[in-house]
Amino acid sequence: MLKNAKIGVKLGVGFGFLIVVIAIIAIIAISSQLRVSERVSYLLEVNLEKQNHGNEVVTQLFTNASAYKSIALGENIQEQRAIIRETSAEVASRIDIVERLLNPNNREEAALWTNALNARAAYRNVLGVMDAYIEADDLDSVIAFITGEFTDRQQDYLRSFESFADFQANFMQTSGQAIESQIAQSIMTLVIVIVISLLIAIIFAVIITRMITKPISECVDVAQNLGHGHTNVKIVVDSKDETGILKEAMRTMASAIQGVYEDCIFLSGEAAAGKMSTRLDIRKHDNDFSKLVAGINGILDAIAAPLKETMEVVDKLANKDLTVRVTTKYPGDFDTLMQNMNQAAKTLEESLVQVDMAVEQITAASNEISSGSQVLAEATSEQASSLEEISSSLEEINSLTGNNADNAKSGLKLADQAVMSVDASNEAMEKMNKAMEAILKSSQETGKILKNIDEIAFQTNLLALNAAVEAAHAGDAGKGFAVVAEEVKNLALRSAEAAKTTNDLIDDSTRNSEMGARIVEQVTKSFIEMKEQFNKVKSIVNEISASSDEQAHGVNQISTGVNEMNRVTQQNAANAEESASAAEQLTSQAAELKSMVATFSINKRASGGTFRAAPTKNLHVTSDRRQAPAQISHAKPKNAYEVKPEAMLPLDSFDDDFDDFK
Amino acid sequence: MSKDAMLETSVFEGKYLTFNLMDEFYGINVDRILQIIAIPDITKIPKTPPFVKGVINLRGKIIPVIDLRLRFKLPEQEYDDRTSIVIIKIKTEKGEVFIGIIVDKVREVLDIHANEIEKTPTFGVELDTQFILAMAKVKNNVVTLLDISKILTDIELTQIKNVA
Repeated sequence: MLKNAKIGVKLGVGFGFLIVVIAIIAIIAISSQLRVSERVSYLLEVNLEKQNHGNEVVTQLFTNASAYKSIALGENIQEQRAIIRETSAEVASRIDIVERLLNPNNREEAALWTNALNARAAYRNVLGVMDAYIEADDLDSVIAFITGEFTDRQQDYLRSFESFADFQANFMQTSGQAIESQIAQSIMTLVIVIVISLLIAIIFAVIITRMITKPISECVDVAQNLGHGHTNVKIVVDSKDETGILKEAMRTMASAIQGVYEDCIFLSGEAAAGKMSTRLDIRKHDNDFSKLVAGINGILDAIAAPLKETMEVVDKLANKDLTVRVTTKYPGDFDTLMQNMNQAAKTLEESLVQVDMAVEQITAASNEISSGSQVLAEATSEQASSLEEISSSLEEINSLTGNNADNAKSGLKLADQAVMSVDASNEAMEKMNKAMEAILKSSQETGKILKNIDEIAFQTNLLALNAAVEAAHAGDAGKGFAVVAEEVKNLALRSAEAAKTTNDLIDDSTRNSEMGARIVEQVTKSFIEMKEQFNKVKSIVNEISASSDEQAHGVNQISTGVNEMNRVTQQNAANAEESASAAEQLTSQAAELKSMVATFSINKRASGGTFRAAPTKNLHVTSDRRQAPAQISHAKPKNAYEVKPEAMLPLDSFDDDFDDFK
Repeated sequence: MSKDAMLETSVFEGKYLTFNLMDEFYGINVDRILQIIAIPDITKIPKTPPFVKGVINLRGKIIPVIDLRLRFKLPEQEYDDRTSIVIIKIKTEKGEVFIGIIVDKVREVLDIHANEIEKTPTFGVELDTQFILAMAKVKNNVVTLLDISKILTDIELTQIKNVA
């Protein structure tokens, strides 16, 4: 029921609920506040007052009692009695006030109060007796009385008023606690009420807000879809408020747009399918939409008529009648189209005339190409055989180079061995040198020994002489001894002689050894030179080896090059063959083309004057194979067809040039 | 040779020790000779004539040594392994004196006969030849036989003796 209400009603219900809740909360808070303040003021005005007056009565009683005690102690009686009167009047007035404030419903208080009044009456009786004693100036009796009955009555009186005051205090305390609990209870009630109200308010807010915003956002989606070109939109009207009306309007708008869109799609589909006679129903659409549809129908009408004529002309062109043209005049771009069409037909006709002529030229040119290709093929085969010869020569060179490198390597090995031999020889020479030195040394040793022998021989000689001298001294007795001495002397001389000879021999051997050492030195030097030379030989052989390797590498490169050349030559041969067969094919195709062109009905006069002939010399093919490639490259169509109109040849001179092909 | 000559020369007959000085042969009668030794270390004596080379110790005996080359005013020669000392004894009025004579080379002990000996030739001029006894021809060599006691003057002998 709320769903179908107007937005104003929905908002009124929501806000009204909130106002009622706030009022209820305010009433609850104020009433509990009022109750509490009433009770507190009662406590302050009545109970506290009663307690104060009770306490004051007790104070006055103390003063009164002390006044009597002073009289008993013999102080100024008149002064004390004035004080007593004053206190009695004060007490009477307090009691009057309390009487007025008494709560008639409180029995305990009434009982306490009656008790207090009775205690007061008893005390006053005692005071009467006391006053009589004072009047009589009987102070001893006064003292006795004070210490006796007077004190008892005074105590009773005091206690009764104290208990009344205590009652008041207790009553106030319990009342205060009651007030506190009442405040707490009312706060709790308030909190509960507020929480519940808030929850309900939130629920209301959410429901109402959703009821308003959801349909609006749906409408926004629909509008955006339409804006982005999506005409197929779904709108469900599920309420009767303002949003429902808005949705209904949106649905109407969408269906109108969708109708126009669907009609346009349908018509364009028909047009695309070639059904140009289909038209749209204007009555299905209202106002501006109907004008739009009528315009579209008009476009189709404008296209269909020229299209029909075009179709007829093209049909004739398709049947190889190139003389047909469009004759009707059409507005705007259709006129351009028709003129272009006529131009196309005309150009096609002219082209065919040109093709007819060109085919003749092609036939001649392809014959030339055929013969040129044959010459090229022959030359290529010659080149191939030459290349084969080069290749075999290169192989020979390669094997020779390999031998060279191998020989160089063996030479290197031999040189190494020679160097090693020289080193070995050098070592042997050194050993020999050492041996000779040893010989020299032992010769010197032997020389020393010989010198010793010589010395000994000399000494022996001296001994022999001494013996001879002694023998002489002995006279005849020494004769035999003299002979022995002579013999010894001779032996000594011979020894010396032998030593000398040996020494000479050793000297010779020393000289020979020295000479040998010199020779060894020379030989060693020669060997070192030899080693150096061998090293040089090694480096030279190394160079030879490296050069051989390089040579082999070079020969390999040449070989690769020749192989490449061979491949290219083969390719060339194949190409020449292909070119020959292509030329043949070209000839046959040119013939076919000519027969095809003959099937067209064309007006040769119409286009003969504008025929664009290529300069014929560019198509010229000679049989000279050295020039052939250059000539062929000149024959590329790029140059042939870039001739400007001014350079075009008249028909008669063209015929003359044609003779060059014969 | 005449008989007189034989008689004259027979005085010099006997055994001689031959030795060389400057390739010349000399001879000393073996009676004068005590011993022949190789040249030992010589202790030099100052303030003596140059031909006195010094003294040697021969088995505990101090013996003065003279160089015969220098005494004969021949050129001095360095001593070699053939240089020898001939120890001789000279009789003086004061007793026997031992002297060592340095010679180039001792040769041999020869028996020289009277027929081999000739008197000392006169050289025509007055030369000091009193220390030569005679000349002998042995094996194609001429040997000058020396009177060794005349080699030194008395004064020299005294000097030498004092040295010893």
